[in-house]
Amino acid sequence: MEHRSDNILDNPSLKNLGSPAGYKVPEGYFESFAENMEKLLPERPELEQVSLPATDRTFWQKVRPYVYMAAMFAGIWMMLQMFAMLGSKTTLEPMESNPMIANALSTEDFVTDYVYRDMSSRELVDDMLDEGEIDENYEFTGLSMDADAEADSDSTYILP
Amino acid sequence: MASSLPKENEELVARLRQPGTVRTAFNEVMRLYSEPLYWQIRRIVQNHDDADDILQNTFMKAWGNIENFRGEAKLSTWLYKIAINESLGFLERERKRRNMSLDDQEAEMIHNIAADEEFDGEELARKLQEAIASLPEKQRLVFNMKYFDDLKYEEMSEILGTSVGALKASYHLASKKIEQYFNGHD
Repeated sequence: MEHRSDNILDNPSLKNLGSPAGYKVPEGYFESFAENMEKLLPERPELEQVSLPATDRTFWQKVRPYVYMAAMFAGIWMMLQMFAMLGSKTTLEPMESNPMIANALSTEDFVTDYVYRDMSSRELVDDMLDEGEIDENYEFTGLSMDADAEADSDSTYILP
Repeated sequence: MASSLPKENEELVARLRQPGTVRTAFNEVMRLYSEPLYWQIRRIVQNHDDADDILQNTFMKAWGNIENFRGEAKLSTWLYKIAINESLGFLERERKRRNMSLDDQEAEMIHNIAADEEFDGEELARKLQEAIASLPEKQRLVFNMKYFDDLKYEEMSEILGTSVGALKASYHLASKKIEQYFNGHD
């Protein structure tokens, strides 16, 4: 006996309607839709960018981060050294503690070469008067203050 | 009735996950899925221009979130979910904008089909669309997915977030109502 469905939804006319089921779309709509959408889609470089595989990297590309890191640490270390040097108090040591200076001082040539020996007594006294270290009534002992005689002979007083 | 959805393509899904091929693969997805998604959307919103806008939004959203598609769900299920959410969101916004109730919107849909001169189908097709439009929103969705796209209940469950049992009941109820509609409008 043939089974006959009474449900309208089993009607072949309805079943053959397919997805559109009576609706219409403009001609060529689906062909142009995807094409237009391709142009509308925004760029997504973070998604589309291909990263280089590790094997293609050069030696420099591999070590570069480590070199930069080492240079950074070296820079920081040098900066800290500089700050420490500027921050510490300088201590004056006697000249004799330096062997080079001690050696130089022991020779007479050094003294005659480096000690200013052409200062006249007059200039010395004028400077001291200007600086207020002495007044005009100051008495010099052991020092010839015969100005005229000094001027004539242009004698000099050798500082000890 | 054969399913109008393209078969799931593993190679295409794999290309969607590769940075170098993601764009070309997505272009292919749009070519493959634009038609079945369009009809699903069109049956919900009826109007072509609205369906066109919603389809564009669907692909825009899919492209914007393509990295979130991990392949746990089928590609078609994922796209369907976006399309249906977009369509239902559109209907809701329209109701709010025009201060309409759900019943008013459904009545308007039935009226639009009856009055649509562009509707190309025979009388039987027009009547079927009117009957579908008279269904509550959830039953309409379930009926369209099952009757026209022949989706499995498991897939529909994933898309709509409803249990398989509830979907079967919805489809059964929808079929009964459509039959009654036809009997009442002879």
